[in-house]
Amino acid sequence: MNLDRARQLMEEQNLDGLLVVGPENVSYATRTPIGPVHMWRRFGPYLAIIPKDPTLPTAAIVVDTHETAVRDAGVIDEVRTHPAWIEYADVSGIDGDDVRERVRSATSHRELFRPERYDLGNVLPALKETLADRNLRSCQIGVDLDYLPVTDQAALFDVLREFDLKASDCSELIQELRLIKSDWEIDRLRTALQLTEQGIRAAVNSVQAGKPRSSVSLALKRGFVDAAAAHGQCNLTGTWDITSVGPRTWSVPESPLIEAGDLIKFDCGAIVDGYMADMGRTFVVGFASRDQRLVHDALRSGMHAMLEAITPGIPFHELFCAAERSIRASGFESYTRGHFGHSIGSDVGQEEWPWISRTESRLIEPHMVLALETPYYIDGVGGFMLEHNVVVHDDHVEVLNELSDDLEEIPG
Amino acid sequence: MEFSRARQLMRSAEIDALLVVGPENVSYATGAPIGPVHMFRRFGPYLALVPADSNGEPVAIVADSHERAVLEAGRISDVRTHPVWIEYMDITGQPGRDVRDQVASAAGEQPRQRPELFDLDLVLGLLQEVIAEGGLSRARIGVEFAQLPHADYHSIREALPDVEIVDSSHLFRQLRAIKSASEIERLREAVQITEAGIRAAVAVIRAGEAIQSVENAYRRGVIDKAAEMKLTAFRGSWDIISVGDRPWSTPVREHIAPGDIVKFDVGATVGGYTSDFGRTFVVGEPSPHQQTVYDALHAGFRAAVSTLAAGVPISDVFHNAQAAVRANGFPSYTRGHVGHSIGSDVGHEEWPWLSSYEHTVIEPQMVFAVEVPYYIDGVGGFMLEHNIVVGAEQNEILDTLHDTLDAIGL
Repeated sequence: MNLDRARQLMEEQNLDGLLVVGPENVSYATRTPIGPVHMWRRFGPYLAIIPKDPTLPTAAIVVDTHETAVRDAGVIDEVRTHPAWIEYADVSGIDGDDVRERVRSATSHRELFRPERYDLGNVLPALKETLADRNLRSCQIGVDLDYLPVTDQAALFDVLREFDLKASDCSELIQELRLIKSDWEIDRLRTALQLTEQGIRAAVNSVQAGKPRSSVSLALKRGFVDAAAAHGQCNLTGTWDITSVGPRTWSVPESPLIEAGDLIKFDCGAIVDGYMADMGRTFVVGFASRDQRLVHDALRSGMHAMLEAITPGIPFHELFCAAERSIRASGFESYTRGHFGHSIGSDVGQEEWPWISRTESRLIEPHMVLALETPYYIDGVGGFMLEHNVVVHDDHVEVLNELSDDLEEIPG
Repeated sequence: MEFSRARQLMRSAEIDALLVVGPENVSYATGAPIGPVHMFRRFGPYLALVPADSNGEPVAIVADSHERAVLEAGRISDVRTHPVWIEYMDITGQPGRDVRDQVASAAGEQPRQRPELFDLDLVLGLLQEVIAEGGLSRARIGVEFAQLPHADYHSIREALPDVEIVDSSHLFRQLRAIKSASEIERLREAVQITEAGIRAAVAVIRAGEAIQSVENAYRRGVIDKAAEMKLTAFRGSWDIISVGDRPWSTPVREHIAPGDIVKFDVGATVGGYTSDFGRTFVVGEPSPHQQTVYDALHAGFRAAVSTLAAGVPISDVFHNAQAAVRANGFPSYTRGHVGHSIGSDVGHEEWPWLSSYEHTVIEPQMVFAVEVPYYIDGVGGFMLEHNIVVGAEQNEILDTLHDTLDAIGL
């Protein structure tokens, strides 16, 4: 998170601080992985407080096992901890022949109790101290309410009331921050995209009529891992894929085996340090039919229309209109999408705000990283996806993809 | 989701219907995968309503692109749809010279519109209809507050002003805790491929090998086994693997060294169901320090596994495990829980947790991860974890690897 920009947006929106509660947003603010304590997506295990006043220290409140990770990331000034369910000890500075003695001396000060998972009863006092230390009272504070579960709102709102804080939703402010990427973030997305293209190549090489249709997604997943292993220097934190094989798009195939003429649609991404590529390509097993070519040609003309139009300074909706016009003019007058792409990054889903939609009037700016997509899902023919990832620079737009945008035929 | 049990729980909680909103819970109710419309984890794109009255039909409200998947899952036959951003069309059986004609014919004369993402007003309108048709306009309806974002709560309140909305998060936990035969089968498959992953990783471990190769080998091993078993519903794997004596920090070395402790806390997901188990190995012969820690954990682990049985309160499992580790030379050993239910919920650790204050009585068809780990900077991370199906007479341990501290990489 760019703290200068965050403070500038707080200034514009009359906020005196941000209380960040959503798992991905806390991870973004602290530049630390989410970690297992956030698996339930609840308020509490892991928070960040960013005051507007740059002389006040930023703070994180995290479970004790995560303290080292937050400190090592070096973004947050003050880290407060509360006990999680996980037992650990540090005996590295303690000599001795008997590990039991070393553990005993390392843990002698400990209270012998840990909460079942984490305890809001420990989090809330830490939050109050953090607010009090910064004199954040009787002012306006932003909370990302998009991610605050109803179960937890009373506990948080009680604290806000006690400090006479007026909370407003800062979900959009954080989206606004996320939209402009740093070089470090762009590097992550660039690597993720490279791994994704290698994964697709590996999956395509494995395709053969007669194999299970489900084998394509498995080969893709294997390809992602192999690509990360070959790269050697990246942290593959996950992968995602929506792979369809055959004439059905969103439901289980009617028959389990790959057939000649099957469309294979990849919509997928490798995830590097939480940053998700989101790209797509479509292939045919054997020879493409005339119908398959008609659809793919129309989608490609929509993609080319966007690539020709995209440049810093134009509104998002111009891209939408260019793509829609071009696809409709190619023989599919009814073609109607809600958006033709979106920002990419490390938010909860692989699609981040803003979307390339009919109504989005925001301007394209340098340091945005976008996915441009022209998909079509036609039960009876199959799923089509053509999707590029691009980085917007000051004077040009860089397409990260190297794979061909043809409807490639896989010999088989 | 077994509707008859859900109805029983609703009646005892005096709830007239469940409005299911959490992505994993809607998938649990419909039997269809979550799908990309739920990537934002917001209320709206994909809902289910399950009435307590056994004459009331459950209803799903889903994106048009997902209607077929929900219908074919076979649990809910009343499916209402709304358009989302995805252009989807079914041209099966449509007349025409080519695909353009067939698409035109399927699209019809009406102008078509799709929202940027999804249209909350449309969804709320459908929900109001379904609620009115079910005679639930003044009913008491449960919603999982733990899964409902604050920002969406007020939309539901405004759309259903006379409905009393109460929290049903715990009811869902209770439902999920008892597994059906097919849920257990998914977990069994997940455990099988997880074990294959650990075996594949162990095979590459030796002094001098890159530490990162361990997780790569694990992930490949899982995928290769899923392919060998021809699993159609494999979703992915997760891993928290530590090598060396600093279990929670980034390793300072790039390569495996003799004497390193290698800890696997790993799992894999099949059809939404996630395994969660672990083992610990040592590169070369274990040191006396390592063996001492492991022996204490092993004693705790055996105590937990032998206590876990139908009819026993969960807190007994916790106390026996912790007491055994403490009695074996680690009197400060203090965990919050020594395991948890596993299944297809949002986190891979589900309620109930095996903790000191959980007095729920263990029942047949619960499936637990039982774990006795220890993370000691200066020695290493240790994990011993089984996945266990509780039986009326006898439990079944799903994983088959040794529970000893095996020397590897020799």
